[in-house]
Amino acid sequence: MTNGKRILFLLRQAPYATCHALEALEAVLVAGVFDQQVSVLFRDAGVWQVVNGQDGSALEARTIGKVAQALPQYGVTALYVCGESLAQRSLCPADLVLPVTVLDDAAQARLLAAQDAVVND
Amino acid sequence: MPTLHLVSRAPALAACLEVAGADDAILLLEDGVYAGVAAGHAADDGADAPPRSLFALEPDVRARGLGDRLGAGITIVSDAGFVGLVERHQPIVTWR
Amino acid sequence: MKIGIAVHGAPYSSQASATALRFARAALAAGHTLPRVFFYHDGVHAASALTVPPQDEPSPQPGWAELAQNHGVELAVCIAAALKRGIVNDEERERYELAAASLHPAFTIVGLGQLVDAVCATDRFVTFAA
Repeated sequence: MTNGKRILFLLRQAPYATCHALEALEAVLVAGVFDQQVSVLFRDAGVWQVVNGQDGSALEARTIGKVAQALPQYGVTALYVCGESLAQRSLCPADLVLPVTVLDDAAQARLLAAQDAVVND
Repeated sequence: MPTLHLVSRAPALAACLEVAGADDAILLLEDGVYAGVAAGHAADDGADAPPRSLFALEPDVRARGLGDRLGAGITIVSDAGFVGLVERHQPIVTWR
Repeated sequence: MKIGIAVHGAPYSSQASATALRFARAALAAGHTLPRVFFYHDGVHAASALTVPPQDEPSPQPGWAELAQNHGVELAVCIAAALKRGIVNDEERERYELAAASLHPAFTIVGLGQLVDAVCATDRFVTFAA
């Protein structure tokens, strides 16, 4: 398959309290090396996965922001963040560890509708 | 093809409704069925919000004693009905 | 129709495995095929052979095993998620010199790539989250 399937990872969980965020990001990294159209939408508490200033070593954990930063190297460049989720947390794109496209709810609805499959965390 | 949203915890319905399209279907399951209590119009969040089809999974509804407590706008479906919804929608998005 | 399933919750701490099993049975009854069920996150606990469910609190595990045996459903357990949670097959038990293996024989340990493969090889993909 050259064009592959359109697969969106919907990530809504904050990192560290559970390993859901880490394991979900690991799945995205693996998906990136397959020849598929992979995208990621960070939404709700999931936006904390990509906030800057994280230091997982304080918890003897991997720094989730660093894991997320590897996404483009694995070919995952379609990275989206819910604008309202950022605003509710007093965050803006400059607070994030990698370049993302901010989407409003209507754009997220279109993004979801365009997928062959959605995998969540 | 419209999307099927699976809501497995009640508070997650709000996030789902923010991005669900007018033709999408929403299936409440597990603890998501509590979002359907006396809220048959939970899917109509505001006068200009598009109507969506709202379903609840029968075993979860019955187990929790919610049979007569769900809003009138909610259709109760069996596991077979769940499969039917999956057949008619793509993608399937889970909200927990 | 080919339907892929992911299970993210552990039996007893989440309904995910039980709900997914009921859905899987209903899908097979409707004539669909389930090439693979992918167990990820805490979902891998469904593959432990070392559980003793109380009689009045049944585990979904025998149901999953029946689907593998009678319907050819592959019960795929993510290796990375499994090893750190103590779900180990004989090969990994030897490699890491562990006291025992714990993987139920109906389940198979696979790489995370099989999740993506399951998405690509099916017409629908349904996640049962924890």
